Amino acid sequence: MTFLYKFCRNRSGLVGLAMLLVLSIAVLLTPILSPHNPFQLNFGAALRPPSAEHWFGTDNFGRDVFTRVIAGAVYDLRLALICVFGPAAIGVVIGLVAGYFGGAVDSALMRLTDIAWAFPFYVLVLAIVGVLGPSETNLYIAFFLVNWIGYARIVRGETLVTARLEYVEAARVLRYSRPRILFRHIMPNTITPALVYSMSDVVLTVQAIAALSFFGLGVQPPAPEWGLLIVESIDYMREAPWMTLFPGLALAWVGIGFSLVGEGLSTALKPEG
Amino acid sequence: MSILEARSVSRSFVSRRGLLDLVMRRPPLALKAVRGVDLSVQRGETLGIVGESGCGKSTLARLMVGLYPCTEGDVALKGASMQGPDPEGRIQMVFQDPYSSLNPRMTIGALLSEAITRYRPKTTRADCAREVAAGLQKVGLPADVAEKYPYALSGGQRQRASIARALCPRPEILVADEPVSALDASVQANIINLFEQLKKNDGITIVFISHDMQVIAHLCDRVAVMYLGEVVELQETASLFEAPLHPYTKGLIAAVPRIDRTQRERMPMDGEMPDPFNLPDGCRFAGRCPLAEEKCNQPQVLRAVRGGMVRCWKAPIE
Repeated sequence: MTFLYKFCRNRSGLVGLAMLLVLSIAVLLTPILSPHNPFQLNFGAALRPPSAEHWFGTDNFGRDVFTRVIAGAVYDLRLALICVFGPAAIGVVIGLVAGYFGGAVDSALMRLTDIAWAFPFYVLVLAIVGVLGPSETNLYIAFFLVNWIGYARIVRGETLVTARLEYVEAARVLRYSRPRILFRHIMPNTITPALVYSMSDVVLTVQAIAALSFFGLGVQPPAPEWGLLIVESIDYMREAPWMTLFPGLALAWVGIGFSLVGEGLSTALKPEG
Repeated sequence: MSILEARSVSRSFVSRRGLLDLVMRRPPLALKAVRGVDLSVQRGETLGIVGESGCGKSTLARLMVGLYPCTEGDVALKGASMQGPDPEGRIQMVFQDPYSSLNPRMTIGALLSEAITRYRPKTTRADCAREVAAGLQKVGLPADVAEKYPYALSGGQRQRASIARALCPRPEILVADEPVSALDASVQANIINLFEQLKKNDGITIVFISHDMQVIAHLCDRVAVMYLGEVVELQETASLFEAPLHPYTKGLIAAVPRIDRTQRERMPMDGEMPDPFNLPDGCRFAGRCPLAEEKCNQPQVLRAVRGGMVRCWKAPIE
């Protein structure tokens, strides 16, 4: 209750949430909002500017850009959320274990993160694509290999501090199980900065996914992924700037939305007292 | 038979060594926070442990509940050596800082039920709620505190909630590490009365750690005085305050402020505490002791004098 109340009192958080809700509703209502099929070619209607019929215009194959941008949200958001929260869960557990047990466990896990940290991300993706060929699966592999590092480091640092607090000592005197101490007593008090970080991580990840698809390393055509929409539009930028503009705006919209939600979360999640 | 016993307990903390220290072959720095402490606590008694900050009181408390492993010696509960905190919860601890001893993300009710179900897993929800209410009542908190988060409570209320949680496993021994020093003077008295009740009505054995001589005098049956990791004196409370055996104890008692005009004999304590990383072989108090002589540079042993124990060859001092 208090969390919702505090979140709602923060204007930027609310605005961000509203932006993301608008996009989600648009995704859910596409069948009503637009009668077009995102994959349906219609050469007679190619490169039409925005109109009542085609809100965001049409592309070089006559496909409705509005329908494709909204359909792209499903790709980009699904990929981004999985590629952020999957690795985040792994990173949080690694950070908790390293920070709580300390000593050799901590050193081993932190050297592992250093190694993962040392990989230049795009070179890593190139290597994976080089071995496995370009596909959506490779995006998952690449992000799961590196995206957990930030969470492991943040949570480890917080855990180092929290594990020395007296309520954790009290839990140890009471002989609670280690999972209970880690997940019930330490995690809720260390997760806030990681959660706030995850919001900006979603922003960076959406853009990385779009960038990788733009370079042909990620999602493959004819999927209406935003990076693909932008790369397909390049040749027509003069005649049909709407083809580039709207997927770009969609990327910015999602980025701003998640950033604002992150700001709202960071104020709402501060414990009182 | 003593219920809880520290048997030549020592605890050192080794400073963490970086890669550079290893390469340079620097020896690790060890701090002996507690050295060779022998203490036995009798069932039903309240044993006070007193000393200034940095003397190892809190470390000793954590050794006694099993939070820290002993570097040397061991702690025995009813004669059996303890490995970590007691699985049956017979020893519980009350902490110094009521602001960090309760998980800020859990209600008081959740904190108490967690402790209850840990030790009596078959407790039904209704029984658990009843036990929480009874536990809160016992420490003088209203029942509606169960729904509150720690931030909504005052320092004194938090300390009561913390005591209520420590009582959930139905412990035989409570180790209280400076439980009142973070509280206002008026609240201190209430919490001390609560400890007295627990001692009288429930027969709980209490190890009470404090730097406040007046609190110790009020509550404890016997007192151990610690200085730089060692017990320097152990006596019944009354005789300790009437006739302290160790010069340090005398100094501590003389330093207690009084409101009446009767001036006690002053006890000057000059000089600095020795560096805890590099302690003298002889009496550790010698550097500050007004009675120090050449012979004080020899190691001192804890010996029986007039029914008490003291680590000073000159005792009893007059």
